[in-house]
Amino acid sequence: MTRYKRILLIVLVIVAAGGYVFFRGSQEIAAQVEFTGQGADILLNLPQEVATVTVTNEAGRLLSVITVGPGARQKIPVFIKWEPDKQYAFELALRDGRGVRLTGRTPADELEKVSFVLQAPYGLSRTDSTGVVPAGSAFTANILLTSHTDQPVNVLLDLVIPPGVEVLSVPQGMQAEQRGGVQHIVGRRRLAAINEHWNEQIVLKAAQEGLEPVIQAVANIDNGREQWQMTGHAAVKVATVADIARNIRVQAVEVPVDVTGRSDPKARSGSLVYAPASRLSSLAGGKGEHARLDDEPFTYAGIQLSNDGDDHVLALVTVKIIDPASGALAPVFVSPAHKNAGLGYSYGVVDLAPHAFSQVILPVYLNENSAFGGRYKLQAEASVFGADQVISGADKEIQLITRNDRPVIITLFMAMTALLGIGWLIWRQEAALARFTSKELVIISLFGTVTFVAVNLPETVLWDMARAVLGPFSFLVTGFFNQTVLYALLVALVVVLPHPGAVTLMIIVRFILNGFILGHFTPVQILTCAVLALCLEVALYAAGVTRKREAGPDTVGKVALLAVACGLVDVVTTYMNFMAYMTLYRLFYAHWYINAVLAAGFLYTAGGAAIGCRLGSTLRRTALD
Amino acid sequence: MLNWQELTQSETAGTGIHRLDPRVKITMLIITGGLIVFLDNPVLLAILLAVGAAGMLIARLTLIKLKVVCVVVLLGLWGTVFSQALFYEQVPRTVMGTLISPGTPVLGPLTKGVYIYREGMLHGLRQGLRMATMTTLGLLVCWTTDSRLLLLGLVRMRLPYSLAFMTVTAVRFIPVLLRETMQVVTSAKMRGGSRLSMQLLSPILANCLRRAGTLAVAVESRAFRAQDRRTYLEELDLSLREKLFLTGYLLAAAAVVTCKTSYFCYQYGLYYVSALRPVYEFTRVYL
Amino acid sequence: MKNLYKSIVIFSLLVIMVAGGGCGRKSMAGMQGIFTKNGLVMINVSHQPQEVAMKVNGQSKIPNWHFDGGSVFVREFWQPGASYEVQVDGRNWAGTAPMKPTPLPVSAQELGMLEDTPAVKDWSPVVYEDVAVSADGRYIGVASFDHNVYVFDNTGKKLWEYRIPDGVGVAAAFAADGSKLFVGESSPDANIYAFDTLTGKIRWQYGMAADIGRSTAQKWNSRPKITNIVVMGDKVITSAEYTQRVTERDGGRAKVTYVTSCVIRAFDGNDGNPKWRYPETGVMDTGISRITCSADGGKIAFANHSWSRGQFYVDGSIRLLAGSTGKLIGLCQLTPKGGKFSYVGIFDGINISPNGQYLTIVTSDDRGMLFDVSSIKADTADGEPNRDFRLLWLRQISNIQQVGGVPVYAYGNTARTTDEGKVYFMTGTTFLADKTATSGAPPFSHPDATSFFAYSNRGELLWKWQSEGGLGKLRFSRDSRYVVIPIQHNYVTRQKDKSGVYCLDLARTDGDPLVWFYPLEGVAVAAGIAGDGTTVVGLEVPIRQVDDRPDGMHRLHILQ
Repeated sequence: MTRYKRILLIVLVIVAAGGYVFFRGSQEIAAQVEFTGQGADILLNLPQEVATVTVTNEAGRLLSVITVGPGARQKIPVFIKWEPDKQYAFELALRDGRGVRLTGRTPADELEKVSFVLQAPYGLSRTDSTGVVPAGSAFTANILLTSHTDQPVNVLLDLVIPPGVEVLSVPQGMQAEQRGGVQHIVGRRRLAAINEHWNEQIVLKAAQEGLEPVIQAVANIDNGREQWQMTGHAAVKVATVADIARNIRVQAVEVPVDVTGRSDPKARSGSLVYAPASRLSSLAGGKGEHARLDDEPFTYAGIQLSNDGDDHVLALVTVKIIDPASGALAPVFVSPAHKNAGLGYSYGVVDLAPHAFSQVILPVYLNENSAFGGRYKLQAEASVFGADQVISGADKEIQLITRNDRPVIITLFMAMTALLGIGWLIWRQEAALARFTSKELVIISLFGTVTFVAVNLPETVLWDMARAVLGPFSFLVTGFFNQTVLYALLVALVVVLPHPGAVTLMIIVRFILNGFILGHFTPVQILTCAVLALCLEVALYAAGVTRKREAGPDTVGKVALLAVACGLVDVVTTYMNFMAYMTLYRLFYAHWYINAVLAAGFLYTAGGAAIGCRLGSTLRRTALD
Repeated sequence: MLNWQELTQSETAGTGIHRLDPRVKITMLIITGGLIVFLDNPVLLAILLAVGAAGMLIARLTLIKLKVVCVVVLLGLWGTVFSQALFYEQVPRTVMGTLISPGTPVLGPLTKGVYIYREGMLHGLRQGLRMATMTTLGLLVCWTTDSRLLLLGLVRMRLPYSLAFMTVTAVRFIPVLLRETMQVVTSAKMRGGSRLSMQLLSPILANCLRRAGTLAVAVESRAFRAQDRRTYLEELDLSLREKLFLTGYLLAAAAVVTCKTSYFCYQYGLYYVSALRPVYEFTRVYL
Repeated sequence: MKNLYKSIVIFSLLVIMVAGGGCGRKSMAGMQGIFTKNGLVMINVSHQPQEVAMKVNGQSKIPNWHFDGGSVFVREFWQPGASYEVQVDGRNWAGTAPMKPTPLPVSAQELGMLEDTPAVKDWSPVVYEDVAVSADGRYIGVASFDHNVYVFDNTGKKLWEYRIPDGVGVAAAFAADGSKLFVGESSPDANIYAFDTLTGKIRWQYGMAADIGRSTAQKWNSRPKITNIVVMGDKVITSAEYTQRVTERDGGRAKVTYVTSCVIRAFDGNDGNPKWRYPETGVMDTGISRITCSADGGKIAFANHSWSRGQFYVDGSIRLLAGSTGKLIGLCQLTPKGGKFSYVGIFDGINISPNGQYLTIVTSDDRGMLFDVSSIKADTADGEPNRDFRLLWLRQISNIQQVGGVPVYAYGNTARTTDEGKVYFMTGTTFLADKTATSGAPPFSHPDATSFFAYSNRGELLWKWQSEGGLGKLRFSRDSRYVVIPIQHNYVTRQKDKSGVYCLDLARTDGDPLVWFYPLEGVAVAAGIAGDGTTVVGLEVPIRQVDDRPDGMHRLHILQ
């Protein structure tokens, strides 16, 4: 089969497969109905575009027709009043013309006229969960009675406090009583309107660990025609802080993270960098209103908690950033007065499911008027919600780096260098170039070409692929071309032509080629080339290569010296490059990341320079006459 | 097999683009290089890319060159868009698709899910289109301009003659060097050596040095740098159409820069005028 | 080559066959009857009918009908459970009336792309846009967060759109006769525009930044912005506020996080001539709540609010202005509840009855109040404002639950009162004491979250209705009979199943005020209802799920 036919066959197979998938029709729809207090929820197996839902009762009476907005959905709530132990039919008309019919039978029991929930400790996401409280700590029991009838009901509530549990506060309108040595809290309330509720919180304290007290409540209800009783109970496990702490742990604290809890791999953990939004703007006298001087969080802290126990624990998680010297909240990180209830630190509540991990992401605010750099300590603490004892905590050292003018100063220096260099070249153009013979100019030009072919072209192709695969660590791959090969060629040139200005000319030629052929005319490249030329000329002169104009380094020591000099040049120029990106593109890099790039660059460059020495010596011997 | 010589030589097809004054082409390249730094709208960047591509078609470049441009441009675009789409970390971000869901064994928990973000794709598209546009235009200029005229153009634009000569020499010898590199690589392969060894540079550079001597003799025998003031066989003359075209392009670029500068001043609270709000809006949306 | 061509032809035929087989979809056609709250609507009627006949439970009845946009509207108070037969030009339809009305979706119009959208795990709707419906329900105006102003007619046809240059629309209101649409923006200039409803031409505009200060901040919330547009006859009252984030204070640079300047202006709605300004000179140093006015425009009420107390216009002060002059005629100062609540926080929770007799307030900390302000006259002479706000009753409509020292509450959001002193309140979603924290949701909902309360004029709770989710901008019909409530996602449970537009009939006394619920794919951020209660609209925005996947679109839904 020829190549064309092979390609055509592949295309036909792909089109056929795509056509089958597209036109084969939709999957079977399955649905079920769950009856709720407000009506029913229709649950579909797959998201579908439903147009209408028609509800009829057992007698065929049309109860409701619900039209649904465009868009696919899997769950559709239906608000209807249903009667117990009756069959209801739901007809779903889909937008593609299909229909689904399902029926459901309502629970046999009548909907409660009054619902009663007793929960302790208060706040678990499921009211039927058992919660754990620390011994000796206060916790809250929550009572919620809701009337579902439009007839007024009178409720007499009697809360039985088991032995071992102390009542710390009684809600207004209720009173504490002692009956047969058992403490009761009683109260009366009239619920006159439908959906009106009686909601109280009672603060209790369980002194002894190991107990599993059961708080009971009895509600006597009278609606004028009938009376009935409802009971509720809430079991609480009382454990020592140590027991709870055994199961509940602050596993890790990560800062900075973004609002979704992800950390930037380039950013150093615990390192917070703060700089005004634009140095240029403040230099030019701008008002600075565009700055992030608002009440949004500066960054976030992600706190990971684990619960190895068998019970739910509702935890209150706090994040405080303190000054290690004073132990007090660091003024720079105190949250605005109207945030966090004026506490000055962030907090969040999380329901820790048994045998599970949870992450709480809390905001970290920055007071820009008192932003001083330095080391601080972030304290993350977890306590049982409703109790007042800390059960687990973790600290993290953080460092605030502020008002760093270094990137701006370095960028300005680079710009000055570039301007002066270009100006000098324009002013002294021919005189500067007259120092080179024609042959030398051609050699430099050809070296520039080789550099372009051996460094720039592969880098252009490799750069994006390396970034896609290795992300921020792509420098490990591109460093081979960017540094090793480049410096090998630069050093080889300067060994062949030990003249001051040779490498500068080569850098200029390479820059022009890069700009003309690949179009890489960016401000950062101009700055980088300028400082590279300057630093390299200085380093080569200091190392004696262009000063003595000898026949290249011929001893191991001289090669090592040259390699180190070039390595240092690369470190300096790469560092300046980072500063330029930070200033012009407002990028931030962690110190460790910068250090890693510099270290790798040093090694790559030194290696390349050493290779270049050898290469240059060989060329002097064999090709130069 | 790729014909590197054909690929790296300029053509003499005689189209309007070939006949365009090299100064116009160089100036357009420089202006466009500066302009795309200011532009953020992917559509506008794509239009510039399309202009470059159209120029290549009008210049009737050979099929091999067009194919190479397509491959280089598409590869670069793909790489940039894909990498940005996956690793976009700013918020807000919108998921368009899932590559690795968090539930996937091994990779899921390791990566916490890999998604394709719309904002990342747009960001990558911007970066990729900038690079692609300049690559296309740069190659178009190189492939449609004789090196002799390129040199003349650079000199007439006040670049030092020697530097211009060096640049043109470099451009002129790219195809030669590429050919030689392929020969060296082939011979290394045939000897069983590595294709990526640094030792391959030695014969390439040695050839360059030998060639340099010959070339230097050749140019000096033609009074290269004999006098300070040099005369030229050909003179470049901008036609009225070229002047108008260049002026128009300059004005358009200046307008873009002005709009962007005014928007910058507005954004940073340096200077704001109510009457310029349509300009700010235009800049924000279209530039 | 011949074989190749044959293969291509055969393959193409195969694809067409498969496609044709898969394409056999049933299409909905035929006239249908929908029982809406406005009457029976026959849809899919292609042209103006000649004759419409109707039978109710077998008995003939002469219907009162009109034709509009492909539908026949029968203004008939239909009986639940009754059987109806309708004949339109010989086409028949029969059906039984359901127990409750159905919302009739007239149109769902896609609007522009939004730069940011809410996330299911955050409480904030992020998108703050507004929609208005003309009094007769014929026109709908959208001040959209996508930088555009749109006007549609009630069939969904777009009449025009206008791009606000470098600003977003945040407030919209129609003139009383529907001839003009007033739109307020958030921009460096804080313009209020008066557009011709039919043509979109700008009749006049005024930049409130001249009063409150200009800003080039990029975030819409940090810019000067229009916060209220209220139409009073031929006058339009508007307020604008600005938070100057960086100020000079005590010789140093200070960061400010609360409103620093706010002003109210009244204009002639026809030509934009300024009528009066409050305060006459200077600005208020705090923000204000919504502005409410009596039906005759004689009294205007609003409250000052601020996270900090404010120096001159203290948080919690309720002010009554004379509608004709803008002079302060009444002043009442509320104090914070205390504890973790250091501010009163009245935002949307203020309303004056149409007859100007009653004023109702609900604070953020859920204190609901009804005042009798009948003794405060609009023609009060200059001088000390009348402080005779007779408090009729105060109720803690929802408990603040103190749990482990942390207050948990469902903030008081909306208040409405009628001429008889009947009061309605609505609470929003659950908050821990820091209501603007982005620290995540509590794991449980307050029992009174997203609840609608009805109180008698004596302060007795009549009924309560509850949904779940965050609250958008809700609107009442002119006679306070209907209220349309846009509900967003529930950030506590991270669910959005109950997001959509709800219509309640406040005249119902059986404790079940829900007329209908219209679910949306995204979340509803604003809703509107015509003054006469006919046309209802809802603004939908997409929401990002936990994995950043978006659900929904930016749409305007027009319903009957």
